[in-house]
Amino acid sequence: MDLPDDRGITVEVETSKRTRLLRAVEVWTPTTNGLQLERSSAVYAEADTFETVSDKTRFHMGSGLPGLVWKAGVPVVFNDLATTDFVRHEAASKDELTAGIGVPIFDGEQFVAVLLFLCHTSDISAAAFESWILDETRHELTPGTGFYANLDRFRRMTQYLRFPYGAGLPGDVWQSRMPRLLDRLADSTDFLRASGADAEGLDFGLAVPVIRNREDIRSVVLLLSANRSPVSQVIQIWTPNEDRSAFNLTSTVAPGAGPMTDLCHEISCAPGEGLVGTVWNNRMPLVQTGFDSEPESLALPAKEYGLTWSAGWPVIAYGKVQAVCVFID
Amino acid sequence: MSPSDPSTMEATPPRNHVAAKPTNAAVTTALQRAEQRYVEIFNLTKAYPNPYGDDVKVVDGFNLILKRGEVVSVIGHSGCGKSTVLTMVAGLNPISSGGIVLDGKEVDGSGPDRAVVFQTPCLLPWLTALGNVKLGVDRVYPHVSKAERTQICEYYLSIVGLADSMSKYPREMSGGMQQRVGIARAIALKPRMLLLDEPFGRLDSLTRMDLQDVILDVLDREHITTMVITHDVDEAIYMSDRVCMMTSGPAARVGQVLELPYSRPRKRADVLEHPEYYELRGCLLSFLESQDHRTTKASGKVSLEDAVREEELVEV
Repeated sequence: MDLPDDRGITVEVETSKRTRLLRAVEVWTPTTNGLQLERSSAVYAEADTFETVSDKTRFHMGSGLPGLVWKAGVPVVFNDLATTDFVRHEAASKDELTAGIGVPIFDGEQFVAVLLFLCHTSDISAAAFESWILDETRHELTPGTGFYANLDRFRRMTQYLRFPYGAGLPGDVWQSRMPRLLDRLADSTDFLRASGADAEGLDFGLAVPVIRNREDIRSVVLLLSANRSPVSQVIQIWTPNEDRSAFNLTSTVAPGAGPMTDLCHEISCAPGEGLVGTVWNNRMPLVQTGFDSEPESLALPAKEYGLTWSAGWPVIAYGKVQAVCVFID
Repeated sequence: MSPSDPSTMEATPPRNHVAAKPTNAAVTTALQRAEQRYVEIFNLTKAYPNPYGDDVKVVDGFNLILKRGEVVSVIGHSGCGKSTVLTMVAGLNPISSGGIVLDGKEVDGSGPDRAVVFQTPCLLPWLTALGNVKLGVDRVYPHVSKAERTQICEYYLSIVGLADSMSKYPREMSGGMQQRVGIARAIALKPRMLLLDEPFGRLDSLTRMDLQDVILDVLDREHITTMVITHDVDEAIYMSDRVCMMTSGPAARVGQVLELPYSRPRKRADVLEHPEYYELRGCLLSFLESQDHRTTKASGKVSLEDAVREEELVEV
């Protein structure tokens, strides 16, 4: 028995988990009678108590974070999960979950799901989940609720910013109605808070439009993260090819699995194949553990880097799934 | 859908239905919306042909909405297209595409509803301060008596601090005093919108501060919707309700907008001592710095073609 080696590996894994921000991702969908939300898929990392409580929980419209997102129709952020507004607050406290971000998913006019991210913030985390809400009168995006892990200065300045149509990363996503992934934020000319990102050590960002009806933008969700404490080890955007016969991997950031970045433009998924193909077919977000159904070129490196789960977030506009954002951790 | 469905009942008017007059609430909402969108600049674009006959867009897709009475500063690097935007709003420079709507009417050419104060006041040397202001007033208020028109001019000259210098000629006035006449000349027309194109650019810092206060005082009295073009971030923060940051050209547009946490009327000391002042200043400076490096930093969007076009633009 080679104890020192085993101990070494154990310590390394624990350190890596401590820096990870996402501890749970859940998908909540309306029950058959449409009166409540039930969990349709989820993954929990070091959140056993929370998982047990969640197994038995359902939400009415307006109750808890998923119910509030359902009611509001825009992303909602809870910065403190110890509050009684968060129905599962006791379990969240026990598992050290500190913040939650709920995003509504619409298929045309119909609300279909809430995608919920639950985070644990440590001293070294550096990340932000921002929701930018459309002010229809001023025709600009204004800051909605946001979660900032150790980014106090960035948060304070963001509250004064507004993005007109086409301006900055949120405005660009509003204009294109497509998600966008930006690496090396500090050097990016497309990310207008580059200096702030540089000062706070933010490395990459993902902006996703929340679209209702065919093309109405209600809000834009922005996830910003540091390589040292990534939102997830791999983030990808998949988009359909011209004849919509397959989805291709078109952008990737992989702070925790560098070579996975090289897979960009090399892998595609047919309808129903793997996570992306299933999300595409079902037009619903999905979280799954394991990579058995994934193309080998994706599954092998994912396993090699010790990744265990993936989550798919569809962007539906003009009646079609236009992109799928994927988180792998 | 059942016959008793309330939505059906609402949708089908009674037989002798007469179109209902808008309710007070609806009128109030419409008025509020009009106040909130007093000036609408939508997808404003200005293109000039380069030597090869291609259109080079100096400003491309500039979007901005101003509330009634709001003061918005536009900052950006030299040559980014700030003054091009201002002259298009003033109606002095034709728009290539997009549109400008002021108080519900599309801007088409220049008019007395938009007054401009330029960096140089360009007063007529053979007229006194009063005569210079009266020139525009006589044109805009032909229906009022000569005595009333003189009264209007005297009032506006006095509120810019020139009550004792109305009969002075430009050669007898300092640069700051001449600019005060320029300001009085603009606001005496009672414009719907005031456009200030680096109005303090040629003045020393003390005179500049003095005139900033004069303009703020006038704007607080008259509630004129104002666009200020400036290079000076401190001036932008002190004078405005919002700062619109323009990206560097070509194809300049609004980068982001900073909503300032200061109410009006305001005092300089209160602004300077505000806990966020230096952070806000830093935010503006960081933006300008990042735009300065736009063409040199690595980016997927700035291509060799863009760089070549930029050089062509400089030549133009």
